[in-house]
Amino acid sequence: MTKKSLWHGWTARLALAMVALLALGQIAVAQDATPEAGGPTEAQLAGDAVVRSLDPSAPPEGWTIPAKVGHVTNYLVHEWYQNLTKGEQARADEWGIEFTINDANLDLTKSLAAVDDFLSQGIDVLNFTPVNEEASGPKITEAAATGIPIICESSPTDGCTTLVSIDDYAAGFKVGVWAGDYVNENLDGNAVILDIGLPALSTTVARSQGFIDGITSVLGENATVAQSVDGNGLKDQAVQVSADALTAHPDVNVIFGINDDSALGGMQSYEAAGLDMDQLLVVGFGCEGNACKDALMEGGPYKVSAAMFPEYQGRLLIDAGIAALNGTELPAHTIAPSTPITADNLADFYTHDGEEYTANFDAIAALSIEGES
Amino acid sequence: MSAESIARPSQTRRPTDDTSRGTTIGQRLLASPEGYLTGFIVLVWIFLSIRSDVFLTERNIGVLLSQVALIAITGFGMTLLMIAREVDLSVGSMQAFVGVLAMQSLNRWPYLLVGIAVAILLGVIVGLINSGLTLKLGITSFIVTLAMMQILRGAAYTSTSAAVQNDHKLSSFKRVFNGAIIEDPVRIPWPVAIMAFFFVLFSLIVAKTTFGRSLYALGSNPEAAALSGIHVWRLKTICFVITSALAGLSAFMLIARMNSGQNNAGFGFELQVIGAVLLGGASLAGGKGTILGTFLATLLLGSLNNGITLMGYNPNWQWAVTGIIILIAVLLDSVRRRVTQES
Amino acid sequence: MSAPPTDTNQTPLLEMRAISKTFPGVVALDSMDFVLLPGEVHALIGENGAGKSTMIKIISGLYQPDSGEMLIDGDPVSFRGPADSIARRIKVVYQELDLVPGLSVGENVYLGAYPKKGGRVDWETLYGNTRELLDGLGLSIDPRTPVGELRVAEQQLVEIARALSQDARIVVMDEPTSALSTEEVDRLFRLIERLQERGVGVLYVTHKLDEIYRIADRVTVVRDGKHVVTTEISKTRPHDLVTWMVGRELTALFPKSTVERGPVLLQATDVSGEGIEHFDLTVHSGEIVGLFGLLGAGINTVARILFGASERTGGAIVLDGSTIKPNSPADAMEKGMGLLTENRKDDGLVLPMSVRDNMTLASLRQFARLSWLDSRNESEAATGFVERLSIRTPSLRQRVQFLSGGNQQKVLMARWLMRDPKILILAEPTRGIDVGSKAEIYRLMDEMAQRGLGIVFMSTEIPEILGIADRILVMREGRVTAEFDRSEATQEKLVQAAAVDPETSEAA
Repeated sequence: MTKKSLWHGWTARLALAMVALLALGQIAVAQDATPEAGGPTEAQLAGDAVVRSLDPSAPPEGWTIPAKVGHVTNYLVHEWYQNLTKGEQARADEWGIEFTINDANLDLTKSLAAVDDFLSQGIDVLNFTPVNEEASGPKITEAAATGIPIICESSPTDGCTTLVSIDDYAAGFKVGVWAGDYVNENLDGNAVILDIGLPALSTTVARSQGFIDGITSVLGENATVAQSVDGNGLKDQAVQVSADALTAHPDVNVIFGINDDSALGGMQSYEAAGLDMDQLLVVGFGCEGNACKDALMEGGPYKVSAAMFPEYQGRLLIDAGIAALNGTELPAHTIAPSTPITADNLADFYTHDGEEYTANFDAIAALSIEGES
Repeated sequence: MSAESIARPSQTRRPTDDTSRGTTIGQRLLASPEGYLTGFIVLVWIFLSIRSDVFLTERNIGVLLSQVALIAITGFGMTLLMIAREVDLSVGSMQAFVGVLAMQSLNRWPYLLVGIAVAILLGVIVGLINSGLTLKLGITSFIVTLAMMQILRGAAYTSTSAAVQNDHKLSSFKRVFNGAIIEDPVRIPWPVAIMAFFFVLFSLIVAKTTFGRSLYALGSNPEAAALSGIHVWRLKTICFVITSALAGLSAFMLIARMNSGQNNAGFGFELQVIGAVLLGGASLAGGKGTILGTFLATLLLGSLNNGITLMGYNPNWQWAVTGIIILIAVLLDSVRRRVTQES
Repeated sequence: MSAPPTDTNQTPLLEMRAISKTFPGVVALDSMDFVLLPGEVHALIGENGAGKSTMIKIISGLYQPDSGEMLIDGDPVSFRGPADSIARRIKVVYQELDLVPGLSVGENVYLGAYPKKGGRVDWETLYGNTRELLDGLGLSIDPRTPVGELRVAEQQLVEIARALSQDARIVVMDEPTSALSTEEVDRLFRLIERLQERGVGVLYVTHKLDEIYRIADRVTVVRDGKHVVTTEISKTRPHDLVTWMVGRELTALFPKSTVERGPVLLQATDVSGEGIEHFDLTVHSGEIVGLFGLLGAGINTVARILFGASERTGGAIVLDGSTIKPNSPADAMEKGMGLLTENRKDDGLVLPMSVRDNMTLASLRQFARLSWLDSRNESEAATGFVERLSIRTPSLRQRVQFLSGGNQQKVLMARWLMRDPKILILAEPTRGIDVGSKAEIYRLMDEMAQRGLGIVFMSTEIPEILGIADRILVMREGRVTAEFDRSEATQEKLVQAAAVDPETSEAA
């Protein structure tokens, strides 16, 4: 009896530990990112401009177009990566490049093995989204030593030729300024903010901080953060924590979410609490999927989101690789465009056709990238 | 020689039905998980109502209980399953899988009952598969349902690359989570009413029926139960199906709450459920656990999470505090066991 | 029997002075005195619940006494845990073995004290020494065999080998022979004699009086937590020991009444299963059929096959006119059969459940309407059986695990009697229980037979088979080798039939 229960005790603990590990592994969706300090050189700025102006129908004279490009993604089932890779595929087709995806599904080991696989398959450019930026550094540095360009996405990693991603802080700031103006015009100039964040990641922390700084730059002391909560970037958890926070702060009239699920979850709790939806502004981030676009068009409190245009980022990833392969010097951070997207300008950037939204690349490309609004 | 004259023990006395347990309040609270969980809850509630004006408001208690309901309802099924010495890790992925499919069904056939029926039916099917694999192939349910957890998560992602939005715009739909069954004299939200219903139902089933009794026997000593004529596999199958069906129902309440079917919903949900059931007095070794204990444990954990957010503490404390509470409970449990085993 | 060390002036190895230990509601030991001398085998007997286990646990350091004094070699000691006890070279061989099933015999023997060479385990020495120890015990077990693959009896001997390896000065053995065959018991006793020669004091706890006469020098009887008597074994009669243990005159151990044999109730024909071939059995109403065999003869497998708990590969079983499906305990129960298994803790009792719930487990439907249990009804029925079977329990809600072995066995009998069965199979119902409880079990069997039940009584102990059975079948290697009527059966005949290959004996 004693032996038996002891044994069960141990299996029990082991089992729990395993479950915990599994769950943690799946929750830890993304990774830290630290924006590079120090500005780009003039040569790099010139290279950046080249990337943005490449045209498959008229490739620069003497350039080699890569035969094969591979992308090691982190978490392909997410809508962000779906749309990002869709953009890459489309651009690769235009150039006549063979484009392959290998997904790590949040598994570091798998991610690094995928890099090796691609190298042995003889790809010309590697696009790479790290599962963990620090742990991926050595492998990417090693891969870079073979001489192929490595274009990173989402988070900077040692060995990358360049990182293609938005400037999270600047994008947050812009959408914050937009929100400040809206509050001035429609909500008596006072903002009581519920910030549904994800404190574990530096990119998402930068988004929240950018937003708060942006709205404060317009409203000054009339913008106050009632509470910052952790929604883990997931809608069910965002609904849960914001329900609690809204009972403590029913006077909240601005909800900011570090992604669209967080913002929509907060809006759901606000409605469930029976508060006045006319007195609410909801600000999202990303707008990569239909949920955000539909919500914008509905005319409810969800008025704006910091659009990240994954399809266009995919195009930039491919073009940056081509430029790098042909010796163009690139800045450490190739900043992808972002802008506050609203019901008014949604049609500028996306063509709505039945269920589908198609990105208008010219309009996106025309967006200023330097952070001025 | 008549049989009567032989070796009659000298001390036989008429047995009584009473339990002579400890008499002081401390002893009583220590006597069972239900006891010390109640003690914890009282302490936490006193603390929170002193520190926060809104904690003891009708609205907040309603929010708190509604949130607890999802975990508790699935937890009641999980309690049965864990008494029977099995476990189901797939209930978290069920939240995503069932949620997505139920929302898609509702979009196609916009009747509330269709959504509920789809959710529960999917639960029953998953439960049957879980039990079939566990009992027929003799693989432990830990592994079977671990695989099922991954399969369902994958299925949820495959069936939609994004969240399934509410296109049916049924007015009754959001009320499943946010509406109230009665408003006067106190507002009782629907999830709370559903939870109360299952609480009473399963408390009675576990304590008062042949099914409940057989379940405890089967969990404590499967061999003895089988030799006493208890149909082990039938009982376990029922438990698997009940757990999954309740997880399906909980998934339906979750999509009503979120107003969308999210393929990434329910991450870590299985941990919250299993953690609460264990905290409520069950054991992975089977034969232990009560519906009341599970309810009190979910209430305690829910109160802590609610309180941490209400008071604006760093949300990361939710993880740590939950862990600390489970450790304290395990500690108290081992103290209690040492005390009772010596008597 | 070796010469008793009668010189009581020597310093005792172990002395207990007025030791008391109370648990809530129970006085387990009440001012207990006890002296163990070097080189003696000291038997400790008493009914279950008399305080023997508590004494052992105090000596092993698991329990601390509430009052009184314990001395080792004349020094007062107070053990805070088993480690202190082990440090004073005390070795307790428990009835419930604490070997690690996944480790080899050698690893178990040296568990926690592996011989080392240069910081690494010296496997050669470990297995070599174990080999020697086992040879000394007359055991031909490979020291590298995982313990889990051994039979219980062999495991017990390994446990004893472990005691030897640890160079103990005081060895406490708690019912060491309960799972041993005759031959193995002989080996054990030779071993105990060797311990004795080395001056080790052996405290030998047992229920078997015949063993005491074979091996012990002195005996101490405890009853209700109190010391009753300590005496030299050569000066006492078994009858006195029993009287001291139960506290009154025990008139007859086997109350066998003559019962008119009724119609045939159970007819098993050509039954086979794992290790069982061509097994035939007929049981009449009111008849007790004894099934005797040495360990490994297959009598317990037969019990399980008859009940459907182990696989039946052939043959037919008919109970009172209806055929029983193979491999379905539920069907056997439905048709009126009950099985009291050999290992009550493994596959009989639900230890954490109450006395009442254990009793009603096999007849829940009887107490339920639409599966809703009527607990008052249950309690009444349980109370009736507690009284009828004289079960000693403080309440119906007492967890069955806290009952003594004899009372646990009676709870299981109540479980089956509640179903009012026609045939009851009792596998080793008296194993490990005290003599008073044994007498009560025999009385109950007799009473049930008088009421027309057919009983199959399986045992490895000859006296009880001879004492209680109407007819005796002897099994050897899965087959019935002989059948005797009560009047013609003797110990010699049974042993002969059980131990000797019938073909060779016929040839001779």
